[in-house]
Amino acid sequence: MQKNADIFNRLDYFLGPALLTDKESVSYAELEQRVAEHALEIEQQCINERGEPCLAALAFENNIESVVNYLAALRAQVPLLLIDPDLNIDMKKAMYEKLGVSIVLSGKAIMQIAPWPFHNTQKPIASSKAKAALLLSTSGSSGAPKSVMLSRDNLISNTNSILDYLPIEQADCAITTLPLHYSFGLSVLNTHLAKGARIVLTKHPLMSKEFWQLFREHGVTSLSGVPFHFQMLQMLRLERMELPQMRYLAQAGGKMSPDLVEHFEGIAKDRDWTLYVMYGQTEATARMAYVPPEVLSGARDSIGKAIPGGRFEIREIGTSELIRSSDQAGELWYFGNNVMLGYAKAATDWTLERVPQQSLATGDIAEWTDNGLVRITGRLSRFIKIRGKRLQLDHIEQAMQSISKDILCCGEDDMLYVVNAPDTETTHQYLRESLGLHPSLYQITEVTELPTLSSGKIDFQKLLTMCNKREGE
Amino acid sequence: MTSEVLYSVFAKALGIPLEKVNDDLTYNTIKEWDSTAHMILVAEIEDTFEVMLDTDDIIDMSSVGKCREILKKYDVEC
Repeated sequence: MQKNADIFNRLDYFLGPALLTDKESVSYAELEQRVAEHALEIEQQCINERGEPCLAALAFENNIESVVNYLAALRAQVPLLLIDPDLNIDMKKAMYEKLGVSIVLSGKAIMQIAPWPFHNTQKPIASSKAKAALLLSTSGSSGAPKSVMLSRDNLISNTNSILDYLPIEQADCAITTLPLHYSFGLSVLNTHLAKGARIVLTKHPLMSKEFWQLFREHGVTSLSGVPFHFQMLQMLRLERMELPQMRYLAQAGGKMSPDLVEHFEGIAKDRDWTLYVMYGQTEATARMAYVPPEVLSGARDSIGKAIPGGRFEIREIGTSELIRSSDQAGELWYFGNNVMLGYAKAATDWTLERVPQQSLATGDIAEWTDNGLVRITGRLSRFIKIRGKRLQLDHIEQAMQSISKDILCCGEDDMLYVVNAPDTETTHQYLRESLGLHPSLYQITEVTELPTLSSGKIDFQKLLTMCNKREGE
Repeated sequence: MTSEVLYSVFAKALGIPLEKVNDDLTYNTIKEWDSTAHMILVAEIEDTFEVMLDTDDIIDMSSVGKCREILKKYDVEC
């Protein structure tokens, strides 16, 4: 494996700019200085005399101060919870309380918001054990109160694997199409810093003049996005834009339709760019698989192969027997050093040292293709992705109990079906405001005879088919 | 075409009541006008006024007033 910079240790291996905004440019040397200084301050305030750190939180905005905070907390070895800056204040508070956050990092400020919950004495870390360095939320605004715990090794391992297959070079420049509190967005930052490349930080959305002004000004060389970003790029007619520095497109965060893959494959071919179709989960730090560009045209519906250092298994559901042939679907398992330490639901979770798991049941149903790649055919877990963000269906059902006890949720990516909910303002308000869903992303529908499994439980697969059929009518 | 048509296109695409639409309404300043809504809005405008917007105009459509101005270039008065 090639040697990439350990960005959590030192940043001044490189000359030239690291971070760019519409106002400022910060060089690697300057970034190192700011991170080192801030790390000392964090260390002083977040680690007690027995060497025990508390949990800090950061609303990760696409700006320089946030990146300094992130890198400084990792440097100081203080576990850090990254949250969506748009999360409403009540949800933030609930999350802080549940996970035992004591410190909030914001700009240059280090604010204590709660006393440190150091009830358990900690032993020095045994070499086989790891501690949580980063806590990431897997869902968007639905705020399912479960965070993924990642170790420093997880982050380093995934960064190195990605750099083994993505052609990131020091001369490259990325731009924040994705939020940095989201594992995919964070992986773009980490990989570019590890190569001494530049990253443009902006809060301007893809469909704005300001975004493309920055894009051209800094000669951005790649675009990373979830399928929704590619729908936007299609609408913007990317093929007609003059982007002389552009080298590649990278897609992850949900399955993109084979048509859209083909569309961008064509553009990439015409413009001499490369298209990377990739697969991952926050539970695996970010990335688990990619489709090697040279085989993409014959594998538009697949997620490709495991990243360097990783491995897949497909296991029969129920028996867990290994499936080796290409005619049978099962649950997709992933193995690698980027698999999370576990989930954190309470303070007692992140304070514990853990033996790295190395294996992950992805919750996705998959099959082998004839040429040994992996194709996802369904999902075991009860969640859907809306614009790349996870929505836990059980969680929404529970939250909607106060509206009606009969409400059931099912759906597929970018479409939530709310079954047997009253078509009232309260319902719409919850969906629009609490979940932040645009009306085109959900449907309220009535199903009088609910399909059930032999166990008597709701057959959600069948319910989804019914909803889909109804929508098509 | 009148303002009403333009306003109702915005109200529908953003999922907000008609009364909340005016020329000063700006992209990314209200929660409802996010990227998803913006994309639907562009499609809706292209459909309603039978135009095919240039990339530069799509990314320049930062407010209702601006949209009206852009549509003039396509000979749409509203």
